[in-house]
Amino acid sequence: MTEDVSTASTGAAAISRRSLLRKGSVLGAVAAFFGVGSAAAQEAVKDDSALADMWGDFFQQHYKKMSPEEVQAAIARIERKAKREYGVELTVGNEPPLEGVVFGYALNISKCKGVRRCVEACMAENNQSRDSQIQYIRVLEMDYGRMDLTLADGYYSAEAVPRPGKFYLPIQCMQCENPPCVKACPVEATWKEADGIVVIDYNWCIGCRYCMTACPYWARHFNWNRPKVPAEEINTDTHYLSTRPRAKRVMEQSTFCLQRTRKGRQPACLEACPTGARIFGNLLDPNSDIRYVIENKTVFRLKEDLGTEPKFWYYTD
Amino acid sequence: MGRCSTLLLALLLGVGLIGLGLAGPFAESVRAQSAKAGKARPGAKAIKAARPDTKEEDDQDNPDDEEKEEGAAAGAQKAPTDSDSVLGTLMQRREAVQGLTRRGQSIANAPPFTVIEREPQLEFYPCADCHEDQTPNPKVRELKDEHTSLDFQHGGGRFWCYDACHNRKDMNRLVSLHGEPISFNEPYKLCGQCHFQRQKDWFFGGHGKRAGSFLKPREIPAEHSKIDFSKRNKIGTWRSDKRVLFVCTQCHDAHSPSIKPYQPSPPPEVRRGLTRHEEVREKHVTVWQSMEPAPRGKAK
Repeated sequence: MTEDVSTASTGAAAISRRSLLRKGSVLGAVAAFFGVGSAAAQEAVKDDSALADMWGDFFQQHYKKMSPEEVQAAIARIERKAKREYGVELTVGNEPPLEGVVFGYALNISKCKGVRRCVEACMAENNQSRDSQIQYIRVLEMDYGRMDLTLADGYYSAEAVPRPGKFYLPIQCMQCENPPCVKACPVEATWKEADGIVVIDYNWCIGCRYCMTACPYWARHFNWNRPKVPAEEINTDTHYLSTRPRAKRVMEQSTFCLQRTRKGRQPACLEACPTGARIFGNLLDPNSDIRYVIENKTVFRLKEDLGTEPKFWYYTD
Repeated sequence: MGRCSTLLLALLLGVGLIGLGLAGPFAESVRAQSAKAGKARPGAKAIKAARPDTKEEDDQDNPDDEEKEEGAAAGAQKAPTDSDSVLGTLMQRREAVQGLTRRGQSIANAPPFTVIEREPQLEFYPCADCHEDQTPNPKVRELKDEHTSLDFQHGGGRFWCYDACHNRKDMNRLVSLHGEPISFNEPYKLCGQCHFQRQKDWFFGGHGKRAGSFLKPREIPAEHSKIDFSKRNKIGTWRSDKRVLFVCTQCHDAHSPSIKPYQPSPPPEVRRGLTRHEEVREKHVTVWQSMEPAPRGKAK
């Protein structure tokens, strides 16, 4: 609950966290005393002021437990908050998983040249904080003939890539079929959707970072600070479970651009890749690109022995 | 013994005739090819083309069939000593069967697709505007007046314009090894004649790039510049029933096809409180190996 309050506190810079906590706790106590729930609380404060939105956020339920109306109300609050904070008209989608679709990703490490255009596109698409180290994709530079991740360099910079004697291994959320992050979460703020994508309810996350330590792929990222994105660079095409602006002290991770893929579009990293190293598609569709790659190429998955069943295949050709 | 050989000959002839009969519309091309090459192998290929079902099964069972056949064909010919004579042989065959074969048009079972057209993107297209009145010059030379920026690295510099790609009879189009004109929008038909395994991967989605909103390959300059994300449109899709592909020449310069080095986007910041140890990686030793033993004090 503390996190909910802090989420709300970003909505109005004028109100400090401490004062809000005090107000929130008093109001909560009053509400509990009179036996009124969140719905009644919303009724009581009908205007769309920052305070009302904070109040709504404070009593917001878990995403999966909210009724469609409550979800719409939550989305409206997010959009109003974005308007107040950034002055942008945000569109927060709520598309459910597509029927008969399980997403999978493949990456050709013969083709990847380490240009990091995927990282750049990912940052722009997913509204990641520009000044922090949160980058969903980490491109590791490695020596030929080695698969030792302890010697991999994610911070390489060069005049031109590929450098001789090196190959490049981008890592990101692998959307495990057996995700350890989901098991580690004490409040069930993260779960696997029907299309195989692991998502986070940012309002429910308490920021304990258990999932961060549970993930063997270094894919979970924590917002130590309030994300800073220039207003003119905000991607306004968002989804409740992926791209919407995050708050301080919540986890985030790649969702294979859920806001795009659930509308049939490709992930941003794939579109930005200049060498065509990335392949994305529906694992249940026998005609999909990803199925062709898995069936016809020499593929491997990272840390397969851990039993996490990642849906991210690497291949060479 | 003589009777046996006569029977065998008759049997072989019968099989051959049946084969030619099945080939149907391709019988003419088969004859032309057989007469020139002096062997029956193209007949089998033509039957396959005429009966797509057979081809589909073959391709599904063993994707390497095509490769083996090509290898066998190369082995059956007199082994040429250098690449020029290979090209010469190919050119002779091309003249013989010009316009008759339908090889290299597609691969069975590949999901349907459309491509982003190249012709509107070409700087000098239509080529015939200039080349209409000129006689094609097959001589290998340095280009001084036009097309001076072309870097002929394809095949190690062995190819010249009209050797295998450009059509000297119709300058606005390319040409297959068998003399069929190929549009600049469909270079995969041309490239796939040699790079057939890549072509197959491309048809099925294992190679190449689907059209998308952010970037077209080859639009990225060698030096890093920020991607312009304002041009977001919605043409790219992962669905297998709506495939829009970039063709070969969208990513590869046909005259120098290897992908050129880029300057990478800047690296992430090193996390606060941490420093990056250059030497740990350069010397290929782990952190604990790189640590020097603590200096020993003079106890005594």
